[in-house]
Amino acid sequence: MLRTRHQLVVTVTATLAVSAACRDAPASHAGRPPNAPAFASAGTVPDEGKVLPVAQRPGKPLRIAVLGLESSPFWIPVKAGVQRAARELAGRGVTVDWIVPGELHTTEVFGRAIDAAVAKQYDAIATIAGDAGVAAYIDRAVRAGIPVATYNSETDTPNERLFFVGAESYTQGKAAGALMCRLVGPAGKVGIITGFFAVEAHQARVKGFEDALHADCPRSVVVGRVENQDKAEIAYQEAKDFMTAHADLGGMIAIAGSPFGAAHAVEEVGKAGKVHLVTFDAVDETMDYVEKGVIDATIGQDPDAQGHDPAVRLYNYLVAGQLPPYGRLLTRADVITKVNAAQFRAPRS
Amino acid sequence: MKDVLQAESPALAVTEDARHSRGAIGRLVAVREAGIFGALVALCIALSLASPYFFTLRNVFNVLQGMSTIGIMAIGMTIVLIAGGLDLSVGSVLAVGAVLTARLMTYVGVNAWLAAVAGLGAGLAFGLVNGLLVTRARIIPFIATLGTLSVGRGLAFLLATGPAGVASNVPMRDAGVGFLGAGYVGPVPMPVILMLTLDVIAALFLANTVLGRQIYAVGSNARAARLCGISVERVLIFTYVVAGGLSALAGIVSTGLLSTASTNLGQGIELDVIAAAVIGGTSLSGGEGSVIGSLFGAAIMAVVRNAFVLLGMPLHLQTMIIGLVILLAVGLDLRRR
Amino acid sequence: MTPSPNVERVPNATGGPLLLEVTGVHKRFGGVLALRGVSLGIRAGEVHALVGENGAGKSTLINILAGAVRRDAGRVVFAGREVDLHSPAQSQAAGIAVIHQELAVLPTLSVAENLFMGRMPARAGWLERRAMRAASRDLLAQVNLDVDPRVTISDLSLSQQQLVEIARALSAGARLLIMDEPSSSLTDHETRRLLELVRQLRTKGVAILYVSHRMAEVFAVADRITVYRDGAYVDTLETAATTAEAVVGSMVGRALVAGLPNEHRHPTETILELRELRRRADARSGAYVALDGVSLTVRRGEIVGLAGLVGAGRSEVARAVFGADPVDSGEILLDGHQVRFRTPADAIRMSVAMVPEDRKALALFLEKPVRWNVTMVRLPALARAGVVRRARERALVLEQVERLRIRAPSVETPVRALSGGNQQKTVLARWLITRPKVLILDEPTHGVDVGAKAEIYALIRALARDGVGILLISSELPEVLELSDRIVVMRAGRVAATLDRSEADERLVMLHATGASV
Repeated sequence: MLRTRHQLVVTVTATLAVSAACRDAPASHAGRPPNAPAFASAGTVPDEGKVLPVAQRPGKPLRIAVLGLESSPFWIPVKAGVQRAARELAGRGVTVDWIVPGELHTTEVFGRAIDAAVAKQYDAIATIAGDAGVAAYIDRAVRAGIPVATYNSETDTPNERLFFVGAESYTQGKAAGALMCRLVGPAGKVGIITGFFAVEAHQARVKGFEDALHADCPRSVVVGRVENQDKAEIAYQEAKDFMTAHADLGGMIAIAGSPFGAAHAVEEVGKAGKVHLVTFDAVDETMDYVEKGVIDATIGQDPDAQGHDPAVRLYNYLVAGQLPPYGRLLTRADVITKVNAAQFRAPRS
Repeated sequence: MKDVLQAESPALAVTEDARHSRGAIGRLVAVREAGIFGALVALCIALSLASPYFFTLRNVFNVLQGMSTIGIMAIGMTIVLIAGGLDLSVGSVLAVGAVLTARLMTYVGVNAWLAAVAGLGAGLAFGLVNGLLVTRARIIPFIATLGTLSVGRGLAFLLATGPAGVASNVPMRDAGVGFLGAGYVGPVPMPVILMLTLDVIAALFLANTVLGRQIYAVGSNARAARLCGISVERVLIFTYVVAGGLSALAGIVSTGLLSTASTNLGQGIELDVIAAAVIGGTSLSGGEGSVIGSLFGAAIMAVVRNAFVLLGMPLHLQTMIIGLVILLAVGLDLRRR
Repeated sequence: MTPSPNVERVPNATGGPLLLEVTGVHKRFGGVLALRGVSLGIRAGEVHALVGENGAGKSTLINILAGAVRRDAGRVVFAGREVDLHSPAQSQAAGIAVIHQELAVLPTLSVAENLFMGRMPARAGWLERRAMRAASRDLLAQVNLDVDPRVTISDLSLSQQQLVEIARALSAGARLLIMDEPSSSLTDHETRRLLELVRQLRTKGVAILYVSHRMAEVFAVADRITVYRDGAYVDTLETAATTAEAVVGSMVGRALVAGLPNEHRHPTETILELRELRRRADARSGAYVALDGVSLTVRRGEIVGLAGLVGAGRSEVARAVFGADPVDSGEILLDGHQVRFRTPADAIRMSVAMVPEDRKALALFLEKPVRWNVTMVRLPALARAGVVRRARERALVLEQVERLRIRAPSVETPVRALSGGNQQKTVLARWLITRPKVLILDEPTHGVDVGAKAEIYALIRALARDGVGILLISSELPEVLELSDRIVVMRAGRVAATLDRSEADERLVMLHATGASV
């Protein structure tokens, strides 16, 4: 009995060593290329959402995995972007697979999904990477010769990914802060409804928002910060409470998920246009209130490009070694209002 | 027989006490709830002093409306807890009830009231499954309902999956059903009326019916209840069905309020619902509890959350304070006994 | 007629060095004097039986020797030294091991782990599994048990688990092995194996205190027999020089309680009949038979006493009749019609009532008011459209409280606050208001004070006068003898004898209950 167990251990160890060696040795793309853009370099590119596949064709059929979520309407345009990329690349013998590994954006879910994509021998992977822990999985994939791009959200922990496509939370927050200052005037009172106190990206938006608000309107006051846990019913209640406690409330910002709950409260109390509401993203429920004028503005982040660009740029890298100019390709922080709402509506099918 | 009895001590030993000379309503608010009610009143007075906005009619109805989802669910949870059970799946049942109703109405085009009845039916069915898992399959309630918690959430995602293949919020814009959540009778929000009505009905039911008392008996001593001829299994199943139905109803009400059924509706709410019951004096080991107390418990939590905004509390206090309230309430309750 | 405490008498008349010497041990639990200056002397390497009726004090003495209960007074000398025995650890360190009736194995662990729990062989924190397994095999061989030490212990039969416990005791260096009713869950074959092992251990110099009320076993293995009665030492006898009847005579001791003639009652009509009821207690192992073909009858207005020692299957009969436990085979006839109660609710519908043993665990809702406890069964009849009619409920409860003299501050007082007697009366009231045709009483006066006991006796007689058929289970022989018209004696899941009131006395009942008569 004891002997068999020893033998088993030896066999397993040997197998691991062999497979590791196999994986390391022949990969042509192993590791991050020396000419890749610096990890933290950032900028907006003119071909955002419009980047085209290069003319070269691959020597063999390629497979690209895009790992994402479907747990909220935000992902509808992202998925549409991925599907658009898939159509563009189909003619070149490339398969783009949209994979939903779970319901949460945690390391546990996405780390495992990256490992699985490596095991399935995809030629490139695009993934969201909101948690610091995902960095280790990305590095392992890259060392195995599979280039990785991140999109939508990424950790500050440096890793071997080629590039990132998405919004920068702090910058987005700043845009919202400047906007709020213009809406409420120099000494306005503002309530903040964040998603989760514990989520880095949400807090970065809050920080950007407050920095810009105070820079532009030094006499403005933040009357409270609460979390709605991405839930409409909580946002609704908190918005009502803010308006009850501060009859002269100038505005509210809803940082994260389900901001329409707050909009519903403003509409119900009849303060649309008096209490100015700024939100993020352009899901249908939010857009309804933008069109009604209850939400003054919502800050977009071009989710379509976040879905489309990583796959196409990964293809361009695989077949032509083409690399984008920045490590972080920041998507546009569109300010969506009643006036321009129509062009940001998610495509209805 | 007579000889033995007469040899014994004198006259009738039972003395009257004041408690049971009260009427039906008086009995409802027995000593048990007085403590928690006192705490609620004290909290409200403190808040009135701290903020001039607290004790306005508008804010009071705001708070009541805000607690209505948890309040309605706490009725069912309390009944389950009294019988010695536990239901962790209520939040998911809430979402299933809400999303199914909205989907049938908006995507399928079913008559709004029929859709609401279907959503309610789904909640009752979920409760039945919970009850059968606990009684027939003999899976302990924590595990059984932990399982259906996940299954239910998955079902909500499935039901909310729109044409784009992504789970989404399902709009529900029927004025009739929406009235349950968004309507007002005079100045009183409809969900508040629903919550208070259901709570009084449940309190009367528990105090005055055979089944109500059997629920307490099963939670107090299940083996003795069985030897008293009570069908313990049937009583337990009933409590889970009630909890499921009320959760689905709460889902439909909160969908009516926001005109949208979100997939994350009620995620994690089971702990708030249990907390409301526990603050209200319901025992997790069964046999003890009252739905009136649970409503007070839910009210205390709602008032505290209201204070976060009214007083502009910092975030660490916001996250800490609910926990402190639970510890304080349960600690005081233990001292009182 | 109770024997005087016999402290000065040295229970070691015929010499040989004593391994254990107990003298003058007293123990009081609340108001009950459980041990009154008892003695016990066990020689090294002997098998010594301790016998007595239920409540004689055997269990208390075992618990004192195990270190689980502290004595109030008296001396315990073990291996020449006076010992404290303030904790189980002390007792074990001294070399005393107890094999309890309820085994104390850790069910999810392996046999080897059970054997070495608390002292597993390890090097630098790593278990030496191989060494442990080898040592386990040796230990198991000592008790003639051939099982793989790696199997989970709950996969073994109860008999095998018991042997593992014995092996564990031996490996811990036990010099005195106390076995408390070791054969109670064993089959005949397993019992013979156990007795064989006991003899074998004696040759190895281990002393054994064999506590049992089964005379056949006692006479098969014991060198000497000590008898306790009502918490007092009675006698120590050489097995070879006595008979089972003489031992039972010492166990019973008191004069026959002269039963009052059960006046004016001439029960004739059979109301309850059991035919060959059988039930296995443990469906999985199938080793232990709870009911092994029980047949008996109860007539209208008759009190049938069900006597027997603990574990004889009396409560199992009660539960089977009441539908609380399923039966494997056999028939129950009520009023001449065959019935099959699948739940207590079925039995209640047919006017059968049962006051179970252990009222706190099985009958009362302790935190709930007296009112509530009394009407729990009858509640549906007190309701209209499911709503309880409070006034009627209260009136009914007050009537019962008065009739049974339940002493409580109020009918709203939680029943926990009542004395044992009043709690028991509350349970009786619950069943009286159902107007039963058959009433099963399982230990109706257990833990009840003398006054309440007399009241309960009077009540039982009055019910019989009214034509209720009563099946009375009691471990107190005088109670059974005083109240019963007939006495059914049970032993090992079977009816050992049915005695008429006129012929029954304690000695005869005990002879049948212990099996000394066969």
